[in-house]
Amino acid sequence: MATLRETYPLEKTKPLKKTIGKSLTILIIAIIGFLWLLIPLFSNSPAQVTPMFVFIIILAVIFIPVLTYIYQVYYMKLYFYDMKDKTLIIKKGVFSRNEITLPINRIQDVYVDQDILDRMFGLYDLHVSSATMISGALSHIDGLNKKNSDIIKEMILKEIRGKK
Amino acid sequence: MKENIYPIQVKEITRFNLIISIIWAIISSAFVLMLFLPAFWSIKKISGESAFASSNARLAFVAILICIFFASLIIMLIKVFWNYLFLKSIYYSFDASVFVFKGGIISRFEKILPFSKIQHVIIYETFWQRMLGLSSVSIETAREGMPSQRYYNDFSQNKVMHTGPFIQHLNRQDAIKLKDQIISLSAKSKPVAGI
Repeated sequence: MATLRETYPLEKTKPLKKTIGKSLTILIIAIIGFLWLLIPLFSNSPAQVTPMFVFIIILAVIFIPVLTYIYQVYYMKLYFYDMKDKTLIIKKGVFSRNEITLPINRIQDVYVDQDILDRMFGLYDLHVSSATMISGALSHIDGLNKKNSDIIKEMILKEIRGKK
Repeated sequence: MKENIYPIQVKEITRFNLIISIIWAIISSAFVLMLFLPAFWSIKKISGESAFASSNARLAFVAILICIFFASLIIMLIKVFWNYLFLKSIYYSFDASVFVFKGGIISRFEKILPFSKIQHVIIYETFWQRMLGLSSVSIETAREGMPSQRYYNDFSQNKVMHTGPFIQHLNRQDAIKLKDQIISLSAKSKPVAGI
């Protein structure tokens, strides 16, 4: 039987969205660093400053986002979620792997949200939580499209209603 | 109730921690060497004479490095030994209704957890645990995490607050079997007051 991951997969634009999200902070820091280095440009000879400019630009604009994108592609590849035997299983991580197994009868709420980048890429994040703080951090499936997120949400709610 | 049905791999993780301790001691000494060498070179520039010219200076420098190496090693070994004792002290068992988790070296703790109160189970695998084929199982309850609930962590474990029993360094297959048993027993228990 196909897993939930196989039947309702994540969107292929998810690694790109994550890369942009994570690279924005680095880009802002690089721009501040770039502007800070411009100050001694007028007192020092440009030859002293130029290698530093090039290094910062290469690091911030090319190297880090490329590495981040490669990481996010693997992250998506290894992302697993399934619903079986009245439990929801979510497994994620590349270097450190975490797997959370939630019995359906312990789920407190199910909700779907989108941040600004999700809205730009048409992605939805499905969150389920139990009565613990850590479930909020670990038990979510992010990077679904609208149709898949609605289907999975309804499946979980149907299981919960079926318990009453 | 059978004690530690799936054994904690104490020897394996202690061996790993020992190797890490030696590596950290070497890194600390190398770091100090990098800090002191420029100072010794500057003495040569000022006096025109190498700081290592005298045998006393050379001996003093080597003695400092050896002291730093052994000091770091001793501190790390104490930590490894303490962690070894803690892991050896861990006792867990369960029957159809409750999960019992005990341990501690000087301060002892005992947690008895009805299956109806278990919210979910998390299997953690850090990078080093994955290399060693180990996993940790965390059984989460609805209780807010307090500082006293944080258990000892060694080099290989994420520092995460655990509200329930946290069984570290099981074999991967054993961790999965333990998780499946806990979930199946917990699913049979009805939640109380909607939790």
